[in-house]
Amino acid sequence: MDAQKADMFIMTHAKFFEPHLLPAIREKLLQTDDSKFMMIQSITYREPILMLIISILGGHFGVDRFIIGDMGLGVAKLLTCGGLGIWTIIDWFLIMERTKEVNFEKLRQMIG
Amino acid sequence: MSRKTLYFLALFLGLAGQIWIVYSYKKLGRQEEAFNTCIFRRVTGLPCPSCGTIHSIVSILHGDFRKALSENPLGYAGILLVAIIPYWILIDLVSGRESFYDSYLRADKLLKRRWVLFSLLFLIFLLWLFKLGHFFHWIEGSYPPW
Repeated sequence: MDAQKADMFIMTHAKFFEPHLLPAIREKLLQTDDSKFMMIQSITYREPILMLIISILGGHFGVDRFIIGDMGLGVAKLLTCGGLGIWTIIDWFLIMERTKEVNFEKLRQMIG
Repeated sequence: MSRKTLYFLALFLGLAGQIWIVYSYKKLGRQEEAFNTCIFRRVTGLPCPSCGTIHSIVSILHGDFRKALSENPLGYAGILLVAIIPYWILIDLVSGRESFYDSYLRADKLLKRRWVLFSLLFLIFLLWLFKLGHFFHWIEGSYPPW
């Protein structure tokens, strides 16, 4: 993939990933075949800020965990009333980082 | 989720749960109402599916298993989780194995199957309907104290 496309991807998708991973992602993209570019662009990434809002509104029932795909933790959170309210609050601080991690895992599966 | 984050979260929540149970056990033993942590209950005034878990756990500790079931069947799941998980993690940390993390990954994979997840959610929904039924007096019987 040429540098222009990789840079464009990084610029438009920077908010979905951890900042310290961006250089590594760019390197990986440069090595990736051009034919995968459309597929990489068409992955639906979860928006960290949106997940934070969902966590504040529906974190009590584990909705945030279900949406990003942590089913085990989602069910545990639902069963324990959001971990007696404590886990709900802890997750307000963890969920954005976790969302970025999940986004990175999705991208890594695509580009190998 | 990385192993470290999961262990930290589960250990912290497990220990917090144990402290909370001891606190509630003492409070409820003196016939006082324990502090209500349920955000949903505070905002809407309605019981959520897991309201009553603490009452149920305290009833189990008193040996009153039928009362525990009527208050909230999830109390049984709750007391098992809180009693087992912190020690499981500590044993893992001491022995350097990853059995808890492996089990978590397996449970996660199982729950990613649609039918498993939806049947579980359906059961919880039924439990909630039952609770709301008591709350609005659609169902006969005394109102459980949550």
